[in-house]
Amino acid sequence: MSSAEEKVEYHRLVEEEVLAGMRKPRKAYWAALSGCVGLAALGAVLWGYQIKKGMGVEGINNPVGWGSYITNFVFWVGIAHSGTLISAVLFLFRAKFRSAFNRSAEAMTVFAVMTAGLFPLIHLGRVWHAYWLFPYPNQRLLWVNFRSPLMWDVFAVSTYFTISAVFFYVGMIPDLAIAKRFETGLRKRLYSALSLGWVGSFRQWKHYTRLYLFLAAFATPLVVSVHSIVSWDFAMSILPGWHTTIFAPYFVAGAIFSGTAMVITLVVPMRKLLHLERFITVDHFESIAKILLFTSLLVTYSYVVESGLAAYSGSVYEKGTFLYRMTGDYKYLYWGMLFCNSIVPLTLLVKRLRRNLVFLFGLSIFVNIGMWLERFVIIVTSMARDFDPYAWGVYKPRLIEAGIALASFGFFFAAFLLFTKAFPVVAVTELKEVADE
Amino acid sequence: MTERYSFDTKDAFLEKLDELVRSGVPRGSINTFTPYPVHEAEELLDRSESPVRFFTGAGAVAGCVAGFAFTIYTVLSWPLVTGGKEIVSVNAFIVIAYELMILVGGLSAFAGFLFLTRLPVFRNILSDSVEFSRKFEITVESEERR
Amino acid sequence: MSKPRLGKRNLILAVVIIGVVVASVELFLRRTPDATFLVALTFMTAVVEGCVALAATGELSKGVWLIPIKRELYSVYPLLLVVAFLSLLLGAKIEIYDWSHEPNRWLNARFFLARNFVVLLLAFFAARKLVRAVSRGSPNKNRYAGFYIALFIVSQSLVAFDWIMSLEYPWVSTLLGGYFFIESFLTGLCAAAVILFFRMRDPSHGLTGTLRDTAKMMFAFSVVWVGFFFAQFLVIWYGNIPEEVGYVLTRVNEPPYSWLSRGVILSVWAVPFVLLLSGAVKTMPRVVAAIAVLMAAGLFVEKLVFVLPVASVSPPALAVEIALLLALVAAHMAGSHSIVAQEVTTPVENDTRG
Repeated sequence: MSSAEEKVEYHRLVEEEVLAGMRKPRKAYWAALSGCVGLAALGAVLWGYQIKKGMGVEGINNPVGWGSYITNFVFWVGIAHSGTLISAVLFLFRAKFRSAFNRSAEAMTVFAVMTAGLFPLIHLGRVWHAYWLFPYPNQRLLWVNFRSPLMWDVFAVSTYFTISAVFFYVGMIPDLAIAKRFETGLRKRLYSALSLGWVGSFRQWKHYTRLYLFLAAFATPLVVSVHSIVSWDFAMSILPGWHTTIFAPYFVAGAIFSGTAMVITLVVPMRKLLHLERFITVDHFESIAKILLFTSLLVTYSYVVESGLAAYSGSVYEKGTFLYRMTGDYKYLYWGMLFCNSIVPLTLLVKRLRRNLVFLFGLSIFVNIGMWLERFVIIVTSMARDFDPYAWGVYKPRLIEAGIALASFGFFFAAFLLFTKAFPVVAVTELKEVADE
Repeated sequence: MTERYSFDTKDAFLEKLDELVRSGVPRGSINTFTPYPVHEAEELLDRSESPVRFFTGAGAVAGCVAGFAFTIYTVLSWPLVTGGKEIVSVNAFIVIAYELMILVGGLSAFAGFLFLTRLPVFRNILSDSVEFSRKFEITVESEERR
Repeated sequence: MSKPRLGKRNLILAVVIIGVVVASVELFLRRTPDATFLVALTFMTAVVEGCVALAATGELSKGVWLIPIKRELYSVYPLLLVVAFLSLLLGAKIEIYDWSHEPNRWLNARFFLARNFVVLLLAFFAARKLVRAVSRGSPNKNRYAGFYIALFIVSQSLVAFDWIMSLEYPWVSTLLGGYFFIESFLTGLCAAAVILFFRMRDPSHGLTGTLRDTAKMMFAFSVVWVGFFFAQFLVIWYGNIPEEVGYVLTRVNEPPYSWLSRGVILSVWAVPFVLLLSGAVKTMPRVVAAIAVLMAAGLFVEKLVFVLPVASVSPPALAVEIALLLALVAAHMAGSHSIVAQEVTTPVENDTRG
């Protein structure tokens, strides 16, 4: 990027090639989109069935009152966090490599939070009472229980969705102004309205840069606090295996871990299909892979500390819980989780593998599965066997829960596919800025 | 009359801007249009801090205060001991106040930005060529037009 | 900065003399076992490991802002060896641990001393390899930085779980290991601020950018620290289970520990947070160094809050030991030219990737 002509040419290329991704989609896109929408529709049907017949159609019962729905909730909130990390935290650290990913990562965050937000509703049973979760003045002078971690969740996830959406939108304003100049008709009007008449004047940039900095500064504590609060849904109990102080940073590390894997799952194919190889390079992926490796090590550390201190404490309940995880009804899931989360990512210590996109894609699938299993194992095993042996029981998810879990993936991918055709998937303005430095 | 200078690269743009400022053109009458924020231009034209931080700060404080005020008010309005915690359990309320602080602070920052930049601006909406977003432009308003 | 008096030989002499003095005092003069030495050693380990960890993290993240002070930060690595050997002295004080009367497979004097010694020793070797690789500009330095960080995390976790948490066996907090390594990292940042204060007395320093970034990191990590503190506190407070809550109740509700705890939160988080919000403050070396000293003092007092309800400490002996040990740290930093080669502070080419 040395000579002036090269820079000018790069500016033009960035705009045209990225915005070309928003052109008319090919058959494969429509096939993928219909598949995902179909899956999501199936989920809606299953949910409708559950509402009609009642919560008994799925496997959640005594003693395991939280099963696959809460697993999905925690899983999707976790996925969302990595997007904010790449976008906001790496911005504060002035890491240049973020510019290739951050738009897709922010979109992933918004859609993942939306998907996650569905699950407390699905799990609620009587969805029409969902508004009771929000504090509003009523005739009976009742207020919500602010001491409950479930209520903290309501505030945390709502805040996270709002701020992430605002951050995503604000970051896009200059790019939407570019996009409108390439479009005609209805799309032109849409982008014009969304870009608010942005022209990149001195005053606009001055206030914009401060706004972006503040939003990044606010989003950063959100990354840590929201998943800490979600982990406190469990840690605030007294169940062995749940009641442990490490949950907050452990879940945050796990969230970034699973979210980074999802970024890789989404961006590797997207880069190829939209011909963005020039802008999203192997170097970028290597940096993301290093984050994946580091968070995998943090998660492994947490596993070791938890089990080690359970043995150390001499508490018969703590030891019992961890032995149950390793040797009990869910032992295949436990060892599968360890394999996917702790062993497989160790391969990223090899530089050649870090730079191999096919390998990274495969690895990211393993990590996604492993992290889903981890949430499931944590949630279910502690409830299946808690203090009193008389109250022990086993939870088997039913088909309807599997269907809804799959449907959530359909919903998420459908939203992301729609995003790739509606908005610029790479931060054009930022790429120009980075190239010119 | 508005003088308009258009450049393809940041360096040429900054050279001209520097020349204009040195030649005594009043800074208030110079405006720039750039594809991305140019830090050096800000140094030359207007180093004052953006007031967005006041909106942000005010919003954050308001959110935090509202968080505590609301939770404490509601819990005193119907004092119910849950989980053996004290009626005004500040530790739990810290979480709520913290989230509200971030929510209101962030939204206030955005509102402040819209207010200060006077966006959305509907006049500009349906104009502009494709080339515009790649150029670095300087416009100078002369006295009569003010 | 490189005074001839602080050459390698003099530093080694200082280390040996101070080490022997401290060891003799603890072994022979102060016979009744108390936790004075434990507190001094814990804080010293935090400072030394934290400084090297900060520099190692800078290597891995290609943090350009850290380069000017890397030399002083790396210069304390020989003290890791000192700390490893001093940790064996805890054997003379093992009576302060209740479990020493009823040992089990994990908590028995021999294994306790051995594992901490080995991990600290390994951390020393990793740090030495790292510093040598950085001095040569070797491409392997990232690997050694990774090794050191891993050993840093493990050794600080052991310090937390073994030295501090087992004082109140069977009290357990799984976060304590993480809490300690964050504190150690934060102590390293405070040391960086103090280094910058001394370096910036020379008018041609060019270090304002480094100071600003150090101040930002201090701000960020003080927030991370208070987040970890709150995470531990909230879980224990909310669960209210007898086997855990007594620990916190003593330290938060009963005077004088309640006053100390509040002081700790004020000095490590509240005051630095408010002061470091301002952009202007971040570029004032005296203010930032003062804040750093306040934070380090708070982190030190916190070690006392952990230990005092269970074991006694002798204030004059503690003051002397801490002064001697920190003098060693200062001496190494002042004489850093003779420990670490100049090449450490040359930015590496091909570092254009963010």
